[in-house]
Amino acid sequence: MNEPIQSVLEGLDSIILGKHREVRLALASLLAGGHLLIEDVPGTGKTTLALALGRVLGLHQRRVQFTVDVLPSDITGSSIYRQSDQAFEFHPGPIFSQILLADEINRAMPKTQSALLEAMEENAVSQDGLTYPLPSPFFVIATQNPRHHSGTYPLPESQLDRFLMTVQMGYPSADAELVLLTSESTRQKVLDQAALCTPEQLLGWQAEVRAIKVASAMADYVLRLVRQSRVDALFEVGLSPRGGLALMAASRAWAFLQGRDFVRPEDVQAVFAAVCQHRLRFRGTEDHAELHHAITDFLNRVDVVA
Amino acid sequence: MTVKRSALLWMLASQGLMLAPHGLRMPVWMALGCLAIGAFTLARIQGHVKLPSKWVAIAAVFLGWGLLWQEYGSPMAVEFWVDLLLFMYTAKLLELDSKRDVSQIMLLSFFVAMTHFLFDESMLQTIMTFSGLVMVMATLIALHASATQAQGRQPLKLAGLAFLQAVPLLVILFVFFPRLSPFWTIPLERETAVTGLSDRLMLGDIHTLVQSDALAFRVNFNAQPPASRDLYWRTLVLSEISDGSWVVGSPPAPRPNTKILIPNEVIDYELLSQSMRVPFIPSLDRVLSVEGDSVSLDPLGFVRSKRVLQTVSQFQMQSALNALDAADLSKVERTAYLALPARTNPLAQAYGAALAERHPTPEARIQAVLAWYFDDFTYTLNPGPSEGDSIDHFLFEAQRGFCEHFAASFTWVMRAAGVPARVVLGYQGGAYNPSGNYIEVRQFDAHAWSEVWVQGEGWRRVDPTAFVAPERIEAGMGAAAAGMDGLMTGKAWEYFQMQSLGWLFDLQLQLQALGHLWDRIIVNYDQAQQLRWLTTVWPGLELKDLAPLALAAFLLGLAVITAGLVASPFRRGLSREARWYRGYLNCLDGVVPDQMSRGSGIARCQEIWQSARPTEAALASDFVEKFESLLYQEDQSVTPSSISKALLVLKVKLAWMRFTAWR
Repeated sequence: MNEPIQSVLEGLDSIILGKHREVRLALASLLAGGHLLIEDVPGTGKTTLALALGRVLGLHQRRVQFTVDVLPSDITGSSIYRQSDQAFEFHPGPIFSQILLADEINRAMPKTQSALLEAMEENAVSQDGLTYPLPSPFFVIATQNPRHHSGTYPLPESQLDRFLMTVQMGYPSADAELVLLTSESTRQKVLDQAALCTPEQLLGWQAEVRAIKVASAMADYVLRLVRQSRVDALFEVGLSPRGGLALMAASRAWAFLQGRDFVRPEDVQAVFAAVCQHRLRFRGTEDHAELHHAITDFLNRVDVVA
Repeated sequence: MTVKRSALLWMLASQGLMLAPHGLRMPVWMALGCLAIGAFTLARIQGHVKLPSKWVAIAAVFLGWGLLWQEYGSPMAVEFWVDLLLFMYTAKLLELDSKRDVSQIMLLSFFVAMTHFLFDESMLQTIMTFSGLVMVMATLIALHASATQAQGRQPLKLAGLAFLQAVPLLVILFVFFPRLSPFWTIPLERETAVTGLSDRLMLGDIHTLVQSDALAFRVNFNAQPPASRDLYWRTLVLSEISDGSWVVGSPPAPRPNTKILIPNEVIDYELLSQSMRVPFIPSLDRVLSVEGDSVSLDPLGFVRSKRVLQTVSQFQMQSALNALDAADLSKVERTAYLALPARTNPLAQAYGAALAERHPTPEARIQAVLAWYFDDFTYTLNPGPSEGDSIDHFLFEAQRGFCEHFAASFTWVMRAAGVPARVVLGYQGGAYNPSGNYIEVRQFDAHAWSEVWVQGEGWRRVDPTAFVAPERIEAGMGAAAAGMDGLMTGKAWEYFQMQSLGWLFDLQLQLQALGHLWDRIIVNYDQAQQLRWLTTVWPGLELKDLAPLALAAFLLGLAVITAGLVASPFRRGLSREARWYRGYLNCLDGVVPDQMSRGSGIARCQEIWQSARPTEAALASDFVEKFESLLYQEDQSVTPSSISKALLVLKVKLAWMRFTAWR
């Protein structure tokens, strides 16, 4: 693996304690050029992870705290009439940044949510018949509380689909939590963190990720997974073709983070839960532990080599 | 309990199916007990109650044993042992706790399945038993399969598939497996419960028999069946009177040179008899020959079997209808067929004596009595009770009676009048089933008639009933009963009511024909049948060739199945890669659990192997590297043959390593 990536990972690990897997998933999501949704109960470090990613990657980032009264224009920006020029002038909103941290996205009204998600899909903002392209690279890192928490507007499946991965933070391990309690504030650590790479480097890595080899045997495997998900008794709704593409892209990024130039079935399996969990509708269960179990079960049922 | 709930429910359902065929036969208390234990277990599965203490279970078992002993009195009946088995089979639920218990109960089910056929060999029973067994297999699958495989009706599907796969083997074994006669038999207590003719005639016996619609036997004729009035199925000849009833006794054998002079009409037929109460087989008129398992032709002209028939048995017979016998009756015979007990039925004795004085020829005496019957007597199913000397009471007071009354009194009067006579018990008529082209005789067709000796003609059949109620003979019991309206009761009455139901009756005929076919082809497939069938395919086959043939057929079947299993990966179109992968997985020897191996990549497997047995895993590195290069890196420099070779090397080295480690 190349040195800068290594140092980026180390930098992230030093801020987010004991969350190796989640950190790598989050980074893989960005390397694959996808948006990231971080999910868990409040206080588990969702925002910290998002902020740390921005700092470490040296990207220009803005943060929007979503509440019920945030309007679409509070995100995308608005046109203001200038008396002097006798014309409207566009004031870009916080979305014009390299990383937009959308905190508690499911507390905003559906209208605001869709404005954000539309911009994510188009990589541009349209206002008054004009299109304003978003900077590059552009990532949205959204956090959300579990659905059943009060005061939330759950994102519909069609919009969840825009996120490449969902990462569950989970509680830290006892060791990590002890360090957390006794050391300096994590927030300060984030602020002190220097950028460990440049946006150009990041774009270069993204290109490398796209060049990672996916052999036909691997494509077959992904196809088997996708097709099985559509007929399996476990799911009410299976993966869409876009889900399959997402799985492929995420697997490449994961292989890249492992320092390999080809994808193995293990890469697909490593990212499967993160990529597919929010795209599949499970029959019956909502519990995370059970979902995890069900997904393992599902992966065991699909032949790796056929 | 540590067992999956679904497996437990499957188990209860299959146990219910296995017990159901015995439900009506077993003692009522036991049926209720089994139901109670089943309901209790269901409540336990649902979590409403807890496992009873060990002592409750032990007490219940001893109570059951005690009641069973009470019920049967001795352990000499098969029913006792069968019920004991069924009881323990159910009582096991009282200590049900682990997977092992469920397995045990289910394996016992296969044994229980065999007991079904002790009591019923019909097609319906066979279907029921096999469905029960499929359920048992489903339980075993549900018990051992993973949670997803055991979902919903999946186990039943799998079990059904397994059953279908076993059918070819079943057919091979059925056809070829040598049929051995049992070395011993334990009498079934039901013998006494079987309805049918008994070997003595008390007035009123046949009357009760006529209430039953149980099947007696079925007959296939090679040609057109004779008319109903000619169908007198002789079963027993009653020649002596003992304690007021006619019995078989030990009549003197006719002289061996007795010949049938004019065999008027010879017919061949195949008779398939149900179980009987007496060791006699019904046959038509004068039997010329009989073929079948341990049967012989009695000198008196009826068919005897060595044992009482307990199962459906088939006989090939040839009979002469309306034959004449010109032989003489020996003196001993004459005395025997004229013997009457002294001081009983004085009026009938006196009437006979008077008859002999008035009419010089036997012919005239016969006609006189029949004319008297025709004029003064009534045929009825409700003759009322007989009093004192039953023949006298019937002849001179009641004058209402049933075939048995007419036959018994007629024979009595004939003997009193000096004409040798005897009573014949059997069946008359039968229903023709056009669907199966056979005649079916049921217990309500039971009949009694007389045979009198007429010089120059031999034993002549005289049926006094035919003079009193000709419709009984011409059109069968159904018509006679319909004429008498309401006198017939019970099952037989219901059976005749069925006939007016049109298509339903047709359907019943079809089902009966199917049952008959089943009895002929499946149930009756014994050693003789087997040999007969196999010799049509391989002429010159002998009994001793059967065992090797069966063995060969069985091995062939096994070989076919094994080949199918071995070849199935190829037949299913498994790719070269998948075969390599499978070969690799086989080397793992269970290090990676089976349910995981399908969905695990080679890198992960290798990792697990590495941590479990590093020295073994090291051997595989060459193969794994090549495999990954070709599959996932698409490195064209790696040739398929080099991978095959690497796999072979891995297998050989591994085998050697394991062998030396074992040594």
